[in-house]
Amino acid sequence: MVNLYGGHILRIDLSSQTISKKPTSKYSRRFIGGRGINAKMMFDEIKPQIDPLGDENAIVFGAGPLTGTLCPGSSRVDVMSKSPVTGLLGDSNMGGNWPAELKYAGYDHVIIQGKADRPVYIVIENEKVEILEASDLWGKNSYSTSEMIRRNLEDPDVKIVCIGKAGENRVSYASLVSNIGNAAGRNGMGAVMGSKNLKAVAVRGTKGVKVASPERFFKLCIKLHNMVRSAPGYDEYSKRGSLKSMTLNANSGYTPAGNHQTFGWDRKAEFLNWWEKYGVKRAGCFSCPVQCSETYTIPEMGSGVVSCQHYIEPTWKLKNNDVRVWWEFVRNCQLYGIDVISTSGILAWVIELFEDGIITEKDTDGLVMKWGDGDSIIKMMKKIIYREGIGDILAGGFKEAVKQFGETSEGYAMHVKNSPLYAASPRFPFVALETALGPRGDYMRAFLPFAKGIIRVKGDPDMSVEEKEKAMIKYEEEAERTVGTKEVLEIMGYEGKPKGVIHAETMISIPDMLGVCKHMGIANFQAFSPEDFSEIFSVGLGENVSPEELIRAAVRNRNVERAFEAREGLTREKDTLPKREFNKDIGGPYKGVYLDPKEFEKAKDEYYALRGWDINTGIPTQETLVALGLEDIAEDLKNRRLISE
Amino acid sequence: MSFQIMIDIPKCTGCGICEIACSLYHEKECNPEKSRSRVIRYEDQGILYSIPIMCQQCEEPPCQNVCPTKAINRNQTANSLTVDERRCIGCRYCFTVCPFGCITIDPKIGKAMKCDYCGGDPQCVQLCPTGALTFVESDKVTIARKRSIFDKYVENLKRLSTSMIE
Repeated sequence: MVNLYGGHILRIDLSSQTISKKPTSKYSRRFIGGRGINAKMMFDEIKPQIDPLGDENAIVFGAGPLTGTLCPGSSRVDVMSKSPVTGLLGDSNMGGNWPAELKYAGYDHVIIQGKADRPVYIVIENEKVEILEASDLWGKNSYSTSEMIRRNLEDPDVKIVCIGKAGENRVSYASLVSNIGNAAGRNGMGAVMGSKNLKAVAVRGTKGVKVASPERFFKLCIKLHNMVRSAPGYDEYSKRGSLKSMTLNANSGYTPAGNHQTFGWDRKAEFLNWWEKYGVKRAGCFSCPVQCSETYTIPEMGSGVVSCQHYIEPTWKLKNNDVRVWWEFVRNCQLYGIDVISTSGILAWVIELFEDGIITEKDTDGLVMKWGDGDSIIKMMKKIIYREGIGDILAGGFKEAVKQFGETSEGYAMHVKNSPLYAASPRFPFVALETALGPRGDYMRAFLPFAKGIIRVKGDPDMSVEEKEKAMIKYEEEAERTVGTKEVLEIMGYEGKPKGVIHAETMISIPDMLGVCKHMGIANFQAFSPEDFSEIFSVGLGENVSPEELIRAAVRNRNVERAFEAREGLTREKDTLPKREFNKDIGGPYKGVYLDPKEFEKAKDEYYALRGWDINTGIPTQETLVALGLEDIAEDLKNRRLISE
Repeated sequence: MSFQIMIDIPKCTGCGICEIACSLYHEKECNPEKSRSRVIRYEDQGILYSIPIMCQQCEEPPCQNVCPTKAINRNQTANSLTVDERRCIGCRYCFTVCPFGCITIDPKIGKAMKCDYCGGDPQCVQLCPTGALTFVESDKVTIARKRSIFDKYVENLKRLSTSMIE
């Protein structure tokens, strides 16, 4: 067996019921693994302009070479498919214990294509791979599905990802979930599973992951664990999760309320108290020292695991203070497999349309939609999941619903490329660029750490003046080192931002390719640099892969993804934000500052130029692709007349 | 001075770092199946429950007592019971009698493997992020255990009083 890699790409064709495998080595040198290999496979295998919910689409699961090892945070899988939400490259990354198990079974990637003629689920047990009947599982929620599969297989240790009712009903933003709180939430991976009649993928592996120099690898892992555990923020995240960071975001003017309308509202939602009152214990992914999630049990409402956006989306976006409404909302997301961000975004839109009289009770099946009104919010959510009445239209996402509600409603729709926005205000240039340039309506494919960090540091009541100064010096050093200018720290400025976004995209792509949680790198902990990733990867692999090579692979990855999107019709014009985000003041601590469209377009020019993409089209040039060794992709785009020589 | 591993079950989140560390340290690969200590996981209603199953190095060890070839002996410096692989015949008697199921059978050679406290510096304890595993001096382990339960009690008490104030 090859060091670090499971060694195989597993291919399952649900139409012909055939199963085959091939070695990962064909891809691994240039595309590393995880998201890197996934993107190349998507480009190679998915014909342009196909229906995301038709049998020609495929769904690819990709673990990385470090997945399943002792490297901290190394149980991640990247899930890709052509997205039913955006019509572009759908990409969602999830943790849990499933990713490591896939590696232990001897596989790096699983590509599932075709469509089963009746509900099925897949069982992967080392070499044994089966497609089994799932009619008894169809309609079951994620908790029951997992329980039934474990019982069917008589194996309590099998790891499961599945879809719920939303995925079965092909709600376009349905998610793929585990039964212990993990989700590939964005871009409608659950809908793709549903369209294939695929209920779940169960995995059990006993083969482990080999490493080249076990002693050195072990010592290095201890060093990395200590780096994470001594990083600023570790104590907070490992004891109370993302609660404080969410609260700081919300108080600092970073989190908009309602349908991206205002900064403030009459908010009483105090997550910190919810954890104190209803929290049971910490939870997190396999092989992670952080355990950033929280287990809750709310009396008479049941239990589940939450973190991060779970807190902010159904509260701030829907202006909901009630812990019980919040809990029913997030628990529904887990049980029925639907994206918490998209669902909150769609509902915020519906409420604002209703408030402004663009739609009435006639459109909402008689429901009176109001901010913070738990009854109508939950009822509407259920309608979407079950595709009942108006829910059937809302399940198709903004594009479908605008057809029904009329053109005016488009002006209210807060989305990027049809994907509902995160509850993060794009009036800050770095959020604006990251969100607009990415395909998902959020900035989780970039995540400029210092800029966001500064907003938080400024507003953190627990930090002393000295600590704040120290943190700022660290940010300044990092900015100088990575972007070459301290100016990038100026929150409202554009200076250095395009380069900063590219740096951030690279630093997210590296862990995504290696199969490690991005929070170990750039995001919350800022613990690992490309040098650290290169060292652990090289020692485990037994071959030297320099930091520069990793960075180059990340740049290559971004270009492959962009080329896929170009083929699907993505152009520069679509790299934008909803109109109302420009020249709009939402108040709060940054009252009076807003996004200027001219400056924004200028920054885009700079970004495309730095990327080596055509400034007019936003498509990678022949020269850029060839320099990255992507001649085949350049040829493909040339044949389609998307680029010229 | 002898030490022993103390397990604080409610602190375990099931991350499995102890298992990967054990297999990598002893068996040179990342594979929970080859770990001498296991975390048993149970998932119910969205919650993952987990308990680390670790050898307690019994005072009157059934594994040692039943071994027909005297392959299991106490390492006095580490206060741990170790398997002499050369003497072990793979009869699995120890595996059968251990009340906690703490004997692992090497899937390749069929012989017994067990936790030996890594010769006195257990690697799993070093890496356990939540404090579910601690390596405590034997003469202080009783009070340490009581204190860990007390801490939990205080935490609950605090939580209760917070909600009562509201």
